[in-house]
Amino acid sequence: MEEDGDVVVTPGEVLGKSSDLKAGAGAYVSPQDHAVYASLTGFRRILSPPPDAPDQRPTVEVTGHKAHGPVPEPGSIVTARVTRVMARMASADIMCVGTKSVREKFSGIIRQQDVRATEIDKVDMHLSFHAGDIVRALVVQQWFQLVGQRCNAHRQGKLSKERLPRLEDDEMK
Amino acid sequence: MAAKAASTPTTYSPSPTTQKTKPSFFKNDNVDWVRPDGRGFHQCRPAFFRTGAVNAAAGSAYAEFGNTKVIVSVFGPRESKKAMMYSDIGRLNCNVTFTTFATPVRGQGSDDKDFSSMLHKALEGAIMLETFPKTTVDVFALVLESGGSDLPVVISCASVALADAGIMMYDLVTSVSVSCLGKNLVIDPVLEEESYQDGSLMLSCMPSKYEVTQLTITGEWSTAKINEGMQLCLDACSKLAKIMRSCLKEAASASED
Repeated sequence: MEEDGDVVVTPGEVLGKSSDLKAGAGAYVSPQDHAVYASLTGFRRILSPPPDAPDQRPTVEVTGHKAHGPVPEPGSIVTARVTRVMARMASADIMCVGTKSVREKFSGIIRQQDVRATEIDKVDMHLSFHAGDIVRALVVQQWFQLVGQRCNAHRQGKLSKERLPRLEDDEMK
Repeated sequence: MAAKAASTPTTYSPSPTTQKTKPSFFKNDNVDWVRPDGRGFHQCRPAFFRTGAVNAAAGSAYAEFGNTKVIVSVFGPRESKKAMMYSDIGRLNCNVTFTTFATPVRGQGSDDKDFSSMLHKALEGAIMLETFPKTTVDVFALVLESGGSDLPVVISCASVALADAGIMMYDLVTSVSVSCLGKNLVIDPVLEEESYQDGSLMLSCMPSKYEVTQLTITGEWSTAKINEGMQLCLDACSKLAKIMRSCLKEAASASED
């Protein structure tokens, strides 16, 4: 198996045919000519499939060099710092998306009804959050709305066993 | 009185014999005429690209084609500041500015407001906007010196800067323009040729996919001329792409060491 990490590719370069290769990170399959193209600048790496996988095509990916910073999107778990607490919502600055720290500023809003799954109208935002709290949250929708869960332990509160509530798709409509 | 009226007609009508003709840039369509910088008609200026010109930006590139010098910096993806319409995909924000000393006459270059939207149109088809949902990528182009073919240089340079920033793209975007001067087509015109041109054609394309992202034609063109001009541009674009790729590869290998 080819394991060349030294070949530098640039966006638009053909990496192979989609019948022979699967497109991993930094690569895509063009529907017009069924070729695998690079979409980033970086080193070409070919990963062999796990032996028990049904699809025995190796995966090609483009890694290294620079990739843009992580962007929070619906479904991602983020770590955020609370900046402002209001009666019905708290605003927060996102610091990490998953395990990666963001490069640019992203702000989010934690709404009162999203703080916990039960008795959502009885949540007191001021008892749940303080400015400066670090929270773990799930990005729900559009404007980086967050579902918050307190995780700093130095103050009393309802932090512990609240689970992240399930969210419906029509949350924002 | 009658005689005077006859000699000086009261109404003016242009007679076909005295019709003004534009002085031909090529005297008597002289094909031996040389371009101001001594190039052949189908010869581009030497192109130079370098990434990492602006430290503060996520990605940047500097391009120099003869006297045309531009810097493009790319910021983001970052939170969209403006109240925006609902959209699942990312946004591309382009801005082209001229320095006050870019043109021979001070402060004349900045009145071209449509450069920004032209840059946006040329690039947006090549960027995978769905990879940075609901965020904005800003592309700021600064023309340091305007030496002709400014927009094609800005577009090519911007795609190098985007690649340097790690923005996912289907392909690089390269752009080349040709000017129609009399019967001749000259590629990559300089400022002087642009001021004399009868028409211009600018083509932006994704070279390895052979897809055109933008085509701008001004002036009067016959179909045959358009075909010839497009072919010239497409050829030049694929050659330009090689230069851009080698610049990006050099930068990527250098960062590894």
